[in-house]
This record gives sequence, structure tokens and C-alpha cells, in this order.
Amino acid sequence: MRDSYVSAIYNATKINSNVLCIVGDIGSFLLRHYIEDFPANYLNLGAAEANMVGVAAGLAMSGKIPFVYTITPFITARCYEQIKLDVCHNRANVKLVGVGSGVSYGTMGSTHHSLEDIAIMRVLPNMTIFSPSNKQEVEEAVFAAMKLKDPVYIRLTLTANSTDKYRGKFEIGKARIVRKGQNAAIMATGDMVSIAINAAKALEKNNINCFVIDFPTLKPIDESLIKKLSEKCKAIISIEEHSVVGGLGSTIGSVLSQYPNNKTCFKILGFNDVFCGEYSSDKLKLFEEYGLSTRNLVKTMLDLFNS
Amino acid sequence: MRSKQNREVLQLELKATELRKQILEMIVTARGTHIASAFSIVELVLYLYKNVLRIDPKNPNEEKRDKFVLSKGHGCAALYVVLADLGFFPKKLLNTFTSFGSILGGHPDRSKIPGVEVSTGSLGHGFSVAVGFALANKMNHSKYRVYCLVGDEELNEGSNWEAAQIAAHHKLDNLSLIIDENKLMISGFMKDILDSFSLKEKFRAFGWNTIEVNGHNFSDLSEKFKLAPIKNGKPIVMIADTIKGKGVSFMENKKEWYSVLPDEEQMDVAVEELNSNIEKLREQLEI
Repeated sequence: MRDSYVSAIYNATKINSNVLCIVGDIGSFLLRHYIEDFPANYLNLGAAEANMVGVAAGLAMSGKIPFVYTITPFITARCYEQIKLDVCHNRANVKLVGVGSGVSYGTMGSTHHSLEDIAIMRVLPNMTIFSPSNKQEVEEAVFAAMKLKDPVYIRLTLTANSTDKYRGKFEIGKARIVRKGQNAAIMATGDMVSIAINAAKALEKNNINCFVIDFPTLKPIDESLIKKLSEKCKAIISIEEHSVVGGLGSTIGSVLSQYPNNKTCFKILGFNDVFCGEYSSDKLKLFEEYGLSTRNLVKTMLDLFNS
Repeated sequence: MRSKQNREVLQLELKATELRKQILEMIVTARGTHIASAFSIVELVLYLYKNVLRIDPKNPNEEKRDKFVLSKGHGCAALYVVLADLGFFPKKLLNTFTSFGSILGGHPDRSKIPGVEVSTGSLGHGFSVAVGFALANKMNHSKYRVYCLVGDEELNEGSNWEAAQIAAHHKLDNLSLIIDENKLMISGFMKDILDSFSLKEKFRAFGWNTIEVNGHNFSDLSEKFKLAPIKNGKPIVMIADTIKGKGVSFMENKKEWYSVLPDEEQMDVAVEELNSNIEKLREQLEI
């Protein structure tokens, strides 16, 4: 995903010289071609994220389109008040890009995890949130962010490297049906989309035909598709590499609970209000431990569907 | 016959005193707060807008302009009376200060007030945004400058020192930081509660040009603002020696006046002092 971001920001700068690539002292090797070709568009503002976001707001209010890139907890939680005030309240055209979201830095522990970032960014007025699930969506998210004259947060993991092509154009606020189903749905974002696809395949033999819905935009959420599926599906599960509090599942739950024609049973899978206390360079092991594996998703759907 | 220069100084002093009276009446009418914080920056803000900033009040969003960021947003009453005086918005709006539907809140909002570049109020934000403005001006080869006013207590916030480092590293000699060094925190004197030590030495160590100025003396302000810009690749900090509550004797250097409002009797004393000073200045100007 990092490679996809580097290529996307390169291509964006090529067509719009106001695009700036700002980093908090990471990615200098990955960005070496960018730095060489667009030295005037590149700024390394060091390990000083609060200031970095304020500076980006000043640049944005001067007509630039700064994409500010560093590890997710440092571009969200650490500088949260700067995001709330300098960016969102001033309505500055800043794009915050968090890399290694969720538990992507699996060996690094909770300092480098972000299981609360969607929750805290979602609550800010004027903020749009993208959460790409593959290389194609990273490029789409960067270009959509460049065109939107408002604050954007792009949540990148490290591992969603699928080169699968999704059909249909990327639209802000629209979810993607990546697998058609009939009587159930799995709603996912980021790395969880591929897990959802695997689970949906496994559930076929139990006569559960799952839609798999990918949410490349988390805010605004695609209410209309959620409502439509809630009338059609016996069970819906949301799954995310994030706390069950305040993320994709909470957003969907809020839509469902306020929709009178909702006929579905709904369950949220995510980190169950806990820090991730295990270490592994294999993220799937962490997913297994915290109930985000294909196996657990299948089991949860069977239980919910047959309840 | 007074020299032209003296007359200009007297006129500014008269204006500053009249504006203090407006600030006092505006805040007291609104049952607001931060009188003393606004009083300490009246001369600084007035001088900047009258003599330094290249901004057209009728066209405040004109691309070619200097930018001013009031990072200590709680001192906004001083900014509002200056902006109204210069015609950024009608003076009668001052009467609506902090009331429902007003554009003039207890902290300045850029989406509402013509001439306000950044919404501020939470300490430690404006300086970084000003650095962003200055960086953009450098990128665009713009000759326009950026001025940012912070409080000395505000420099407790660590984000300012991140901004100071970045500004020096990027050689932002198009940026002037002005520190309202009134030496008082909410709870008392800084030296007793959280000593800022020598701001001059700190900024020098960060790679800045430093200038010290009497923040209430227009002759000194005139002289020191002439020193800037210094085109030596370093940003400039102007450390202004000021008095919190300046202009009303019983409010000066008293921590209480950070948030307290005068009662009727105190208000009479304050207005009388300001009126008497206005009268004296008018006499000196023979108007």
C-alpha cells in the first residue's frame, strides 16, 4: 500500500503542481523518485506532528493541497486538536494520510497501532474519510482527495496489496459491491475486504449467499446501500481492523437502528474494546487472536444467520 | 509646533486610548472576559494594521497581502476594534460582541469576520499556521510577509517550539513573530509559576533574529518595525515588553483582571481615567 500511495502522490503532483507531499520523517527511500522529480513539492517537517498539521493548514489556506503522511497514530491522535481546529474548523484543504493503520505494525505494539482513528476522525465536522482496500483504491482515494476541496483522512494499512480490479468508478460516499449475494452481507473495509471475500466463499456450501460490501469511504457512509441490504438480508456482519467502538460497525449500526424497515440481524466484529497485546509480523495471527479471521467470521455468520 | 513624527505618535496614542475605552465597554456590556489580555496588545495590533500590514480592508482576501495571525485569540477584542476602525466591518457590529447571531465571538472565527486569517483561541496553534503561510509565500516567490502575535504564557505550549524550529530551518525571513510579553499567567506571575527565562536567548538558540521593543511605545515600535524585515535568512521575533491590563491603572499587572469584570464603581473609575487621557491627548494635539 505504501508503494501505491507513493505512485499515486507522484501522479497527482504531475497533474497538479499545488499538491505537496509532506512527511513526518518517514518514507524518504520510498519517496526518493518523488523527491528527485518534485523537490519543491516535498517537505519533511520532522517528528513534530502537531506543528506539521498546523503548517499544512497554513499552506492549504494559501492555495496548496498538502498531503501529510506519517504513521497513523501520529497523524491522528497525537495532533488531534490541530486536526479539529486548524484543519476542520478552519475548513483547510488538508489531506491527512495515515500509514500502517490498525495493527499493521504487528511487532511494534500499541504505540504504533491505531484502533481508534476512525472513531476520532469520524466525529469531526467537515472531515471525509477514505479507507482503501487495495492498490486501485489507494490511487482512487488520493485523486478523489485532491479534487475535493475539504479535509480528508486516508487510512492506509501496509498489507492490502491486492491488485484485483474493482468495477465501477470510485465515488465519495459510495460503497462497492465486490461480491453479489442474496440473503446475507458482510460489510468490510481495508484489509478485512479480502477476509470477507474468503468467508463469503466458504459460506456458500451452507446456502448462505453473502454480499461482500467494500467501504472505501467511511464518511460519508453509504446509507442507501446499507438500508437496501437491511431489507433483503437475514444477517449482516461488519468487520474492521479497528475497535468495535466508533468505527465502521458503529456507523452501520447507527444507520440500521434509525431505519424503520430494517429486517436484519446485525453483528460488529472488530477489536473488542481492547488494545492488541500480542506481537506478530504475520498480521493474520493477530486477526486470529482477536476474532477477525476468516474462520471466526464464517462461524459468527452461521450463528447469526441460524439464530 | 510639534514635529510631524510627534504628532503621528500622539494620534496613535489617542487612537489606542479610544480603542481601549471601546474594548472595555464592549466586554463589560457583553459580560465577557479577557479585558487585560486585550489591553496588553492594543498598541501592537493598532500599529501593525495602521503602519505595517499591506491589507486592503475593502478587499481583505486579495491574494497579494500581508497576513496577520492573532494566535492568542482570547485577546480578540483588541483585534475587533482595530478591524472595525479600519473599516473591515461596520463599527456598529462591535455592539453585538458575543451575542447570538453576531460575527464577533469570544474567539475570532475566520469564516465569519472579514480580515481574520485563522480561527484561533486554543493556545499554541496560530504560530504553526503562520509558518504554513510563510512557507507558501516562499514557494510562490511572494514578497508579502506574515506576522503572528502570541502571548508569553502561550509559549508554554510545546507546539510553538516545533514551529520555531521549522521556521528557522526553512529560513523564513518573511515571518515575524511578535510576543506579547506581559509576564502574567492566569494564576500569577510567570516567574513564580512557570518561568519562561530569557525568550531572547531561547529564540537566538533556535536560529532567529531577535528584537526587543516596548510594546506600548509607538516611537519604539516605529523604530523597531523599521528594522524588520531583515533579509538574512532568519525569521524575526519581536519580544514586546507589555503590561497586562495596560491603560487602566488599577488593572495593570494584576492577575485578577484576566477574567474578572469591573463593578459599576470600578467601571466609572476606569472610564474616567481613559476619558481624562483622551482629553489630555486631544489638548496636546490641539483638537
